[in-house]
Amino acid sequence: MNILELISLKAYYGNKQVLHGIDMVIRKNAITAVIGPSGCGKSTLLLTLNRMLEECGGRAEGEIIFDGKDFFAYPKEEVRKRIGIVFQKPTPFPLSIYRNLTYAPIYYGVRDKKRLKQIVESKLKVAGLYEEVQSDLHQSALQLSGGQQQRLCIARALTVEPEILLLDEPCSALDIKNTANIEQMLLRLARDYTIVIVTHNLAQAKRISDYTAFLLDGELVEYDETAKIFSRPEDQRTREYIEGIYG
Amino acid sequence: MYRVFDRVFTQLVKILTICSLLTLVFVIIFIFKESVVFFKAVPVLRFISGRSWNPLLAADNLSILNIILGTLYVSLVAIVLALPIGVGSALLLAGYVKGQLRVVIRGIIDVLAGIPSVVYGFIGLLVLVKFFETTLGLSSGESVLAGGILLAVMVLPYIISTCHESMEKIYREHAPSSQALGVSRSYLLRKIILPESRRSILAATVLALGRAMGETMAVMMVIGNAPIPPRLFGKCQTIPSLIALEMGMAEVGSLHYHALFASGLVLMLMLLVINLILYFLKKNILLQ
Amino acid sequence: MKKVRDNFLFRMWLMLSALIVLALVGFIIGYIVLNGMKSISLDFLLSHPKGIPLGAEGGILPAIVGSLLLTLIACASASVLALATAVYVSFYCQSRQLETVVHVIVQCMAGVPSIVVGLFGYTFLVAKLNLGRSLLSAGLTLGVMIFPFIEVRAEKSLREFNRAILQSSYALGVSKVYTLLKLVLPQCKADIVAAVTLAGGFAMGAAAPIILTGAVIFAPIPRSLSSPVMALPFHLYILTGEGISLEKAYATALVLMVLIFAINIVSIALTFRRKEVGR
Ligand SMILES: Nc1ncnc2c1ncn2[C@@H]1O[C@H](COP(=O)(O)OP(=O)(O)OP(=O)(O)O)[C@@H](O)[C@H]1O
Ligand SMILES: [Mg+2]
Repeated sequence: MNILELISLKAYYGNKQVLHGIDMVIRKNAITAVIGPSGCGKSTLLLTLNRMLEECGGRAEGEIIFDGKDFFAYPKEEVRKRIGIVFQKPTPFPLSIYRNLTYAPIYYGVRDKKRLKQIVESKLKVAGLYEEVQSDLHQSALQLSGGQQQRLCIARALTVEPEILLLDEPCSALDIKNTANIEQMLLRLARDYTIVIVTHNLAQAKRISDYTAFLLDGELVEYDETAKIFSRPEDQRTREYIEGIYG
Repeated sequence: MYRVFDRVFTQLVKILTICSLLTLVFVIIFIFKESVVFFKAVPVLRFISGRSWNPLLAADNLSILNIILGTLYVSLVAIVLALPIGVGSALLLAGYVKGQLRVVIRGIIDVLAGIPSVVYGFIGLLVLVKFFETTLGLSSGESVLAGGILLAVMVLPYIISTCHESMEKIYREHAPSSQALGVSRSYLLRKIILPESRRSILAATVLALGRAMGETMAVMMVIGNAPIPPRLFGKCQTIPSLIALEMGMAEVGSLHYHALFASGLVLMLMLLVINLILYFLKKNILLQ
Repeated sequence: MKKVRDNFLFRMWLMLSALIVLALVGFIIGYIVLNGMKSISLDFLLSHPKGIPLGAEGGILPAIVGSLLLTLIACASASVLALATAVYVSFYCQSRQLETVVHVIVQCMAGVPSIVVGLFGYTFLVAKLNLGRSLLSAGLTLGVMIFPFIEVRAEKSLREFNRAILQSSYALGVSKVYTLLKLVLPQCKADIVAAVTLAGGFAMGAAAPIILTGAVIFAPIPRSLSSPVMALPFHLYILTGEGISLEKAYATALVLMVLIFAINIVSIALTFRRKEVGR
């Protein structure tokens, strides 16, 4: 089933066009990987899907169908609640770990202390951070290591129970073990969530994703099942990229 | 949950912002308008080029050249005195003083900035003016020089902190490579830091000049307040002290009253011109 | 040889200027403290001015209270407006032009000398609005004077807040207001309070704006916003200007300076705490 359908989606920063009409569908409860060389517009694509593009000084054109309805007709708060995003660089709030995770639930009206605690613990467990931080949930999140911070941000994005989770190179700051942890986590999450992940790590895309999109200079060159893209790409450019020509 | 509160808060912020902007614009326009009334009676040129100020006589006698000159004279004396001391201290702070001690010294300098101008005036009157009278044997210690010295002390902290900030930055940039060459610290300060920070020195000068020209109480207490052509050891009058002294006597709406507003406007325009000059100087220095 | 001499002169210059600055600070503070200590007493702090001319004897209680009230009114009126403006410009304002306009207006106001602000207060608040020479007129005039100071500092602090963190908050679907109140303000609180207290120090020490708008030679402790007040800087000015009593003047100056330093120390302490917590 398709949860998102992009129809001729364009994105601009000022006069500069970054996405040149993307047509693609995102399937529910699957992991979709977006790959492509640096600067091709992967992050911009994710920002568009979370309505954060305008906050970053850009603007989108075209059509998106989200859950059967016009994406741009939803209030943007609702879109952002239902489609979570984790940025490339970890951005823990300058609060304690606990308050990082209760920040959004409290906003959405959860007041019960027990319920909040439960959310915090379950999301930390999902993100594989619970073991490491359970002894002191009230320490500042800024004191965590880069990898821990990134997992905290993933946990935080999950606290609002999004349907889709967008991840922008979540593993670029992590070591092999942490990366493996996150990949495990994503595979588990894929049962309940739809995941779109931008990655420079082709092996990673191959390992975890069901579908892979190859983006080049703001155009969707090829989009298919991961197995097919990596074994029998149709487009010459995709093949070159996968073989390591663009880097 | 937060929807209603959000909306109220946002609206409140907007309304308050509009209120403050309107207030500020109103204040500025008000000052402008009250002054312009005067220029209908006395032409601008006449006002700033005439030398007599006597509110008891006819409108022709309301002109402020002497007072403008007094304002400039006192402020310039202050700058000339304060600049070398301020720049020297800033250099010393940037190059030789480190860590805790620097924080303490900056704190002490901030203390200078926090002393109210009346207290400066008070000390000026009791120490400076008295010194001029008893030790130097002047008939009256109240003088341009007394005002200038006092103002110099008052603007010192502004000069030091403005200069110090950029000097410290430049020092941090150049110190490693210069130390690698084995050059002495004072040579580095003299040959690189000082010339490189000319822009901030200029900025500090203009800032200090603005402060000095707008200062009221301290100056008023030590310059004697006579609207005569200023001499270094003679009395003079500045625009702020003129306003402070005579506003109480001027009837609201009278020509005298409008003349005071007009002199306030002249003061503000002078400050504006100085700031513009600084702006262009900065630009030119950047281009070089 | 010449090089050595230049270097020597250069160093002398630096040493001398620093010595002069330190000597000045020492002298000013020592002068006021030593002279003020002699005539300060509990009675001086807690009684009303007496004697002929008024102020030659007695104390300065009404002036202390008056100064505190004036500072309070100035800070309250200016900080509400200045904070709202700072928040609007840094969080809500979408257009660059509007932002520039706001900055130009605030800078213009910052350039208005305090006596001219007083002139405005006198004409508009005292005369046109008929508020009379009163606590309210003088407090509001001081408020206008310190508005730009608070606005500039508060805006700077708000803008320094990490943009990526802001965006992460918006990305959760959380509103600007919630982000502001729960994330940004707790971080910037210390800076903002420091700005307000520092501005309070300015307001408390300023005599020029209140000469015409509310300060009087003698008044009891104000009962209402419309009563005239005594204020420390103005009282000091009168005591010296009219040559009423040198001793009382020293003591008044000391009290004024101590109050302002107390305020400044609070502000510095806040700034420091922020730096320690910050990174
Ligand atoms: N805020 C912005 N303003 C203007 N141009 C931008 C902005 N952000 C990105 N761009 C431009 O848009 C293009 C696409 O950027 P984007 O961040 O989407 O690339 P990316 O594929 O995520 O690259 P990377 O793999 O390096 O993260 C780039 O050419 C970039 O210069
Ligand atoms: Mg990117």
